[in-house]
Amino acid sequence: MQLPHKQHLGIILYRARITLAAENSRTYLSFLWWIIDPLLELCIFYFVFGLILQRGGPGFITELLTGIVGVRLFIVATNASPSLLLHNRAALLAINLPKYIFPAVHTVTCFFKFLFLLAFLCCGLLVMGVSPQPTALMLVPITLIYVLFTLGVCMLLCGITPFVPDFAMLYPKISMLLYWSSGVFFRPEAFLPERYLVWFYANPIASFIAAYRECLLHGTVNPTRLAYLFAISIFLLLLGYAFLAVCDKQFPRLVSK
Amino acid sequence: MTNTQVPAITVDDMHVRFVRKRLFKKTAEAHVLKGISFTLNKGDSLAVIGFNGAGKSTLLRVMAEILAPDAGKCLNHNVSTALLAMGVGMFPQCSGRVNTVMQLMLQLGIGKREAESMVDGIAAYAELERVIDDPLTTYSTGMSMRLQFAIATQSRPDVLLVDEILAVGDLPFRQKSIATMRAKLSSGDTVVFVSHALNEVRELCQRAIWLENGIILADGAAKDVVKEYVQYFNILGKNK
Repeated sequence: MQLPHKQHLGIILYRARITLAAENSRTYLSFLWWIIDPLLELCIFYFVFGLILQRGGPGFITELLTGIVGVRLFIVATNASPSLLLHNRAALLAINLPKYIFPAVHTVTCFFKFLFLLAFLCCGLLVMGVSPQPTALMLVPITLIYVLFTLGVCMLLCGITPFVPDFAMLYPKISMLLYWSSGVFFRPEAFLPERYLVWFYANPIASFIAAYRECLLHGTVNPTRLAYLFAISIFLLLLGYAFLAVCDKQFPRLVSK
Repeated sequence: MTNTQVPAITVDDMHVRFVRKRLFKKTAEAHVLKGISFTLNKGDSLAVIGFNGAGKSTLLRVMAEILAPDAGKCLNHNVSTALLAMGVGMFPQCSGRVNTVMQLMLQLGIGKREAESMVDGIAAYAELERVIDDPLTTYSTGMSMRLQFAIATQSRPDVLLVDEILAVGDLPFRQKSIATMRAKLSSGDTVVFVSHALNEVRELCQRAIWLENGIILADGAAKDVVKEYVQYFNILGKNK
């Protein structure tokens, strides 16, 4: 019996809710870790790049904080994605579920934490003296596009791994490369010749970070960038969904080996 | 029992293989179902018996449309199927109520409100009314099994597929759960029942299939097939 389509959203939201509740109940500080973790990351990067390497400068902390928060949804969501179907093996072998439900639950869970962090970022920027920009309203469309992009990548990652289990070993390194090459703790304009910038920003993660910085710190919006991010997000979302749908019956067999 | 002429699921020369490839090891292949054929009619109570590794659970998963066969057919004649599953993806840190709602939504495909309205009845059946709002981590294994059984038996599809779930919990609850399963098996609903409990199979099922090593060795009246199975392996004494 395949689940009725109208119930999918309800299941995704309810399961995401109880996943968050279960996660929070595991630690003493509960949901405060959603903020403490990136704050610790901020301290480490500031210590290494700002103090030891003297790479800081005016606005370094605000740029760094926006970068760390901006990359967060993608990194946290995708790092766990390759093993999603394997972790849900019991459900896969007992219930005829559309497989996109698992990455969707995971992405919604990460998205909720990200929203919390985004609100914290906005408060933090105000405290640090960044004047509110009207372009901050663009946070809504940018974040929506970002969620679609992340969901698309999560669907692809969790679908690939049952076919090629070794991918679960490889992905953390790819994720690390994306993190370090996306301008989280530097502005590529300060290092790269202009002709290479287009290639740098072809990396969607770098573009999302730039989009967050533009709308929150610089009061600008780059429509071309947003159009590019929207197009690539829709493409990945459709590709991921189609992949999981086409291979739907193969996953229980692959995870049962 | 009811009309035995209307097919619900037709299995025709069905093969299922599991292949595992590794770089430095020989490819491992398990040919789990080797060209089996039978028809499940509406109203049948069919038992599938056989030793561990015979392919019984794989057969149920194909009938539940969770797995697809490699060759041959498993033709569903427009009937809904559900594999009776216990404790699929429970969240131990969350309450019995929350887990029950989640399981009902997943297994029955119903909305949250409908699922919430069923929780108290399930808790009463499982005799867990006083602890249903406590986290599952505080439940004993028996209490957890009772809740899972109570959730799993809510399913009412056209064809119910039951994989070795007959009795759980302490003695009073075991009797209750056996009575529930007996009621399901003798209700006239279409049920496929995988079990090692040969006495119940003989008593409750009209028909049985003896599956061994992916091949059907016998298909017929439950009493006859169980008799054949017992004679062949001489296990009745051990079972008692």
